[in-house]
Amino acid sequence: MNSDADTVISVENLEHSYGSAKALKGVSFSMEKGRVYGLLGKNGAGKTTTINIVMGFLKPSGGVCRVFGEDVSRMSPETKRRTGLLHEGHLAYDFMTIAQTEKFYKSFYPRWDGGIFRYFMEKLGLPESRKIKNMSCGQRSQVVLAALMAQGAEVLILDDFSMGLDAGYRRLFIDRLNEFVREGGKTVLITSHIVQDLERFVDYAVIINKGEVVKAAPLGDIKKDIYCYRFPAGSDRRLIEGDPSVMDVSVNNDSVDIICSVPPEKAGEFFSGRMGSGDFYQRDVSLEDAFIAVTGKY
Amino acid sequence: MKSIFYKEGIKLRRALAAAFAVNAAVLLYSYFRVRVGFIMQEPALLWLDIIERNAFFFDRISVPLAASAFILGFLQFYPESSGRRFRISCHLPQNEDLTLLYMLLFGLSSVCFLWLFDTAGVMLSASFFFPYDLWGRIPSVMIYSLFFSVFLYSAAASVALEPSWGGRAGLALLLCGGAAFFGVSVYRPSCWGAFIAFAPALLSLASVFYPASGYRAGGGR
Repeated sequence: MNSDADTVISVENLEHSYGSAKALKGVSFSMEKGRVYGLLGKNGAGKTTTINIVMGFLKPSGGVCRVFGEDVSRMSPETKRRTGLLHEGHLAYDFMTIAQTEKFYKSFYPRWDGGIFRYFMEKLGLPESRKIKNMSCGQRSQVVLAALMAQGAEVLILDDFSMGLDAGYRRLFIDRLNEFVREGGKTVLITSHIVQDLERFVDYAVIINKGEVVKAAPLGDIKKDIYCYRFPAGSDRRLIEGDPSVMDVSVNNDSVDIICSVPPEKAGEFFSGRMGSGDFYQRDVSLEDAFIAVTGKY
Repeated sequence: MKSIFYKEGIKLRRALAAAFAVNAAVLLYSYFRVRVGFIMQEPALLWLDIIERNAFFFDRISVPLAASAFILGFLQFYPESSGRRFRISCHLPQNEDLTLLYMLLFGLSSVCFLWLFDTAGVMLSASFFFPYDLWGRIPSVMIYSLFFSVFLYSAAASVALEPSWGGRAGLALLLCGGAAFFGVSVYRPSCWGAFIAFAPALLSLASVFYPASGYRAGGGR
């Protein structure tokens, strides 16, 4: 059991509506110091609404969100300094150059780490006089991430960091962030549409569906009691699709994956009568599999 | 404040240079127009104009001044609302109303410097043709242009900062009503007119805080 002193962000019974449509129906979770949390949800599940409230840019209809014990809608300058935000689309003052960006932020953050910022910029290989608006989306994401890390914030809230990034830049982003967060004992709340990316980074997942938290647990526990079996392409799956133990059936180019709650010792018996094929093997369950198992595809 | 001024300076330096250049060009043009007037016409006729119509021969400078203020307001705040970039400004570690106030102070200082430049230019040009009795009154006549420019600057700023198109339309309508006040030229030569003009200029500045407050309530979501 962790004390309140370890709680960095607490979200209590958040409710929010857009007109008559209820987007959040009592979302609650809390984040402990030094852990990385992934907020997962399908389109329209309430993920963006939640992250907007946590960032302090949306007033909820009900409930409260606190960062370091302060209501996010009225954060003091000191709490803002301790909280780093990465806005969706890697928002930056794109009329500034790299050098101007550093000079500007440095004046606001006494713990500014110029070494980290310059290290990233050297790796990027762009001149300091390059304006952010003249950079590619991937390059801009590196400048924004460098500025975020150099601020010396204790908690980072990263909204859809993967937006607009190709696989290489997404991986680079996570690599850099992983090193920084583990070394500095930072607390992170991150969202992304690409669940596979989060698997390499998060310790704890909060899954939201239809405005409610449907599962919140450490990554290992999220996958608990979920199994994935791979069958050859063309296997007859009509009998299995309606089975209550089956959470998802995915058709790949050369195979069919079945995500279900049937443990390996019972799998042979279970599938023999239903799939008409005993030719299958168990594969590791990914976070995305677990996510689909919990929320479904639709 | 220094850091916010630094940021706003980067954002607006080209626009400011262009505004000063355009205003200087109009000042020169006005100077030559009056000079030609004195060469082409009997000076006594021009003097009669001044006496009978209370004419002010450098009046056209108020147009580029007002246009510059409007464009500066828009160019300063549109990059903030575009892509919801104002969220970054809101999260800077200081009171966000103070951040906005410093941004407005930068814009106001720019408008005031532009006005001072124009006023000095007009006074200098006028001193060649008119007696001190006339050109000495130029600042008090032109103060009205300053307030109108401040009003237009604030109106452009609040409309540009407003994240929703509906909100922009509403604000624009409201501020158009306010702008109509400055069309009443009967107040112009009087000090009371200038004093009265100060009120809508001040109120329009306050109006910029309205769209800014919307960002915390979900504006530009």
